[in-house]
Amino acid sequence: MSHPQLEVENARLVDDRLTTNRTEGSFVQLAKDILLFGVAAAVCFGLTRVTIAILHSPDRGLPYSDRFANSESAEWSAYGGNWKVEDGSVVNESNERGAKLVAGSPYWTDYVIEADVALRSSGDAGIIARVSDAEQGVDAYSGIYVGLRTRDQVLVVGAADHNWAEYAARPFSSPILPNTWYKIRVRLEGCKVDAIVNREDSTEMGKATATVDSCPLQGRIGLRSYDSGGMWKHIRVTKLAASR
Amino acid sequence: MISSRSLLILFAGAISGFAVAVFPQVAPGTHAPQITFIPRTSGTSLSEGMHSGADKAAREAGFRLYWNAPTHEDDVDRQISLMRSALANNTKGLVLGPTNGPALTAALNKFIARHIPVVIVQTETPVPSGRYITSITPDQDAVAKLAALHVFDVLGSGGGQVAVLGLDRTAPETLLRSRYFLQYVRSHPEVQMVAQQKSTSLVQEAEQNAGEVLDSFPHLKALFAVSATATAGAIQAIRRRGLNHAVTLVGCDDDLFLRRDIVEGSLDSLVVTDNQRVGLLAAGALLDGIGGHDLPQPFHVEPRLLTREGFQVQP
Repeated sequence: MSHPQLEVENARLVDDRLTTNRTEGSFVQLAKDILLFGVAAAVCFGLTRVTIAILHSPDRGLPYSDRFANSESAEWSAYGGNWKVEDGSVVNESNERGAKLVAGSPYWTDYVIEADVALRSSGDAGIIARVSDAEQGVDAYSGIYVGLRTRDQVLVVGAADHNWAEYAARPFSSPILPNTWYKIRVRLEGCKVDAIVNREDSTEMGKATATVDSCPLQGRIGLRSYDSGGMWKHIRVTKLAASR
Repeated sequence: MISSRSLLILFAGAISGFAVAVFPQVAPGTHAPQITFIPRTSGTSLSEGMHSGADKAAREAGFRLYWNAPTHEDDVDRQISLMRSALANNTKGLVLGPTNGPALTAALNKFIARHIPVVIVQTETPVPSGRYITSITPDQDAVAKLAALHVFDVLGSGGGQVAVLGLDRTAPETLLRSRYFLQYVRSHPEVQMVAQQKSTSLVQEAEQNAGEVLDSFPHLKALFAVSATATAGAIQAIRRRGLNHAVTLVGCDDDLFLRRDIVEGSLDSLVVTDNQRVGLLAAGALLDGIGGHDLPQPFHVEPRLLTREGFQVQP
């Protein structure tokens, strides 16, 4: 082999090695990039899922209570009615049928909701639970309603899913009086609803138990009146286990 | 030191991880096509009957029924707002119980212009029926005839004074019922029509109006109330005056708590239509229209008379 030929061959070998090194370097860089991308994606995915899980936790925000101190009700959303906060209670001055005021987490599941309720005239007033998809309208929400109804003097338990299904109507031991406070306590476990109404002196006035078909399993809480204005105070929601 | 290239890859990875994590929360669900039903108001026995019928028809056809209504029967603004929402939500068809026909014609014409079928219930259609709009309503002549024949039967050969309550210009069916009733009364000279009283959709006002008629005509023998509200108001006015056994009250529409009033004896009888059937027929016609068929001609549903004798149905 002559010198020029050797030089050419050496140069080709050097080129080949350099090309191979460059290719290997590119593969290594690509692998590093994919790894970096994967790690970033996995970490961000995990953090986001954890954040969502915390935000969607059925325990988040519980126990909850609102005594309407300082006349504040910013966290409540009204669907119809004419609502105001007055002396530590929230008042619906309208007799609009199906007026609602809703608050709390849409992810609450099994809980106990308690409130003091008074009707302003004849009609219905009470509390709603596991509320979702609320709109202005008589039964324009999905949820469970427990209330005092003067028409037939009963404690009524029903469910709405943009319609109305009544599950219990238990007569009271004495007439419902307007502008008189009654303590309602509703316990929701799965599709079972236990409701009890006491007078202000804690004597029992009536109770009802119902199992709701295809019940809503989670949702916010709310206040609702029908054909009667109403007043509510001392609203309290507790996790079921904690309230046992 | 991290290079800008690495930072870019980290950022892209983080965005991808975030997107994959939140996608199930924000992904649009697959919804069945929607039809809309907006009665005059909801949460009453009349509207719930129609609701269950329409819901059944919609579900069987693979449609979702959006149901909502004003909380007051005279809230025309709310009804227009619900109609606008339905259009914005790409509803495939509308069943409407108009609160005030003339006020709704512009909103109805928007549906017709977009070839979205509309079926009117509860009252006559406020715009002429055609390819995209029809009505399914009680036969108002038959409603008046049933009431009139029952009143003639109760009064007997001696006859007496009668009055009509509840004429409401925003509810054309009340005017039709009154007009037909008057025609039947004219064929019975022993029966005298002494008043045709206007009213509104508010029970308190209906009670006041009924009271005025009762006070003005102390020898009144029978009242025909041409709407559920007028019937409920008349019941209260009669009860307050202790006239339960002196005045025969025949009401209209299976609404409010009027069935209970028949059982309790504060209402003699009630002319009703099968509301569930109306809902079923209305949604059925609408679905046919959505399927490309012509809407049927305006259709009348036959009423029946509920009496206190165990809700015996009379022909």
